Amino acid sequence: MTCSMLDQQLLLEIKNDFPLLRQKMKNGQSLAYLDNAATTQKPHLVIEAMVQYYQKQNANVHRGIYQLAAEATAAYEGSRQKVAQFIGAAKAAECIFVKGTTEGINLVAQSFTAPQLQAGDEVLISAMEHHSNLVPWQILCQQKGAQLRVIPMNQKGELDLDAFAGLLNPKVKMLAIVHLSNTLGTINPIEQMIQMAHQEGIPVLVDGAQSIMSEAIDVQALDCDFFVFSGHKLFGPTGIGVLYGKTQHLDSMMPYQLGGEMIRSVSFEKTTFARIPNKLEAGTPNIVGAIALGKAIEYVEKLGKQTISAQLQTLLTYATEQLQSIAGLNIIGQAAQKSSVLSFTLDGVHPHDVATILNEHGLALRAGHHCTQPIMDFYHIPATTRASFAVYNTINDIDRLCEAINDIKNIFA
Amino acid sequence: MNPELKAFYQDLILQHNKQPIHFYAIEAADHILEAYNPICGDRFKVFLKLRDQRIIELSFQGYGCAISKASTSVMVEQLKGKTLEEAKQLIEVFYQSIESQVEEAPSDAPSAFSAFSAVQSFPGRKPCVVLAWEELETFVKQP
Repeated sequence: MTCSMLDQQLLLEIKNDFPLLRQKMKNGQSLAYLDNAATTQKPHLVIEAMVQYYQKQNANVHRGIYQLAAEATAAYEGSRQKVAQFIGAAKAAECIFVKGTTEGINLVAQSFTAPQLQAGDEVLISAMEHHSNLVPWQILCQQKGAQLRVIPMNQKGELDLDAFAGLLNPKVKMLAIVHLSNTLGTINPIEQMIQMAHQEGIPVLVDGAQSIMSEAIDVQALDCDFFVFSGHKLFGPTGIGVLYGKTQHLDSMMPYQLGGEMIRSVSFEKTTFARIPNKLEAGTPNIVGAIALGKAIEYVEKLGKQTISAQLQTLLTYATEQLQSIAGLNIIGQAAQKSSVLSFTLDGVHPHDVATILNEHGLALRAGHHCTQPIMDFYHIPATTRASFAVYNTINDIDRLCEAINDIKNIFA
Repeated sequence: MNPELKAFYQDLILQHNKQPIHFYAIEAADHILEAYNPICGDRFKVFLKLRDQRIIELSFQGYGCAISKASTSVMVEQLKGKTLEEAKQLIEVFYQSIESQVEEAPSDAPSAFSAFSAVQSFPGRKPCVVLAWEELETFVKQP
């Protein structure tokens, strides 16, 4: 393979960090897990951190003064510090723990944008948004009599920046944009887009669900107003994610869930809210999730995003070359700036038939619309099969994929 | 190819997928049913013409996986010409057939039905097998 290929020994060690990848599938083959855009597998140290927490630390946070409660609180808040440093936030209080990307976006839509959105205003998204960065804005616009505007893309799956410039105007109250498309793999030029939006005074939310793993994220350098990601696409557990927001925005937001943990004082007449981040984290949080996310971040930092990113590019380049050489296979999404995701269709074979047969070869791939139906409509296809990579994937996984696709072609010949 | 997969993608199914039966729209249909699975995007229209409680014409059009397309093709092939009452019974026979081993299928089941019993090894694909059948079932069972 190419010289940019990771050292074989290192790659083997990385793979060994993930216990699930050692499992055999039902026909006895080893697993080639290629559905990392849906969720990533978990390294041993993340799983161990969760077990250890419940065996040795479990107590509610921010409440007790006994030793366990203090330790749990320190671990939970320690994770928030790690998150802040990982994404370059000015302070930990700007990182709100949420369930995941979806909750983070809904929180911003309901608590930040909704109060300022008037009839006739606009919200701007792109043609390649995941439903989670589309539906909350669409429904909000419908409720307020506002317009949802869509930045168009070209056939390669790249956003049209001239059209984007034309859509910017003072009526736009939010630009919500995906960083790395979960269906096309496109990496959008968010730095430039944020600058352009800010010139018009438009706040920007970046959906970082897919980019958090491989792209260098510095929220202060990007100057984004909000950045959202999920822990489970970063080797962490499900049910935990992060909403980063600039302090002045988070301070201005009315909490959308009310209750314990988020108050300063309560009487029957009046409640005053705690400061951020607690104000926006009502109820007992996902403590173990937050702690395990901290461990996942440690793991990613140990590997280094550059290493991860290089490995993903190696895999994507190799997979693109190999799949392109298969007659009747069409790659959906050919952006110049692309990472880790490869969607395709196979002439005459439905993606669900493809995925069923791939499964029989021990290959785990997703078939469907990937929660991006408008992208399917754009390309006039009902669905794609998608290979999405993580650092533990190998050239051998891709070779097995190509062999299996040839098998499918024989069955459907 | 392993035996389960071979049974699932057997010749009968692949043939129906390639050359589906009654695969066209009926211009003056009395009823058009939509069989749609939002999870996978499979979407067929099923066209019916009725006379005296009998399905005198039955066809379909649309897009789906090999399994959903073949099962819809078998459905229109087998149910065209049946009375609504016969259709109800045959739909039940189909459900029984796909839940049974081939040799234990109901004795009155058309042989094409048992081709789909291989779905038992692929439980995630059952919605594909029954997609259009469930729509038609709802239609014939309505009061």
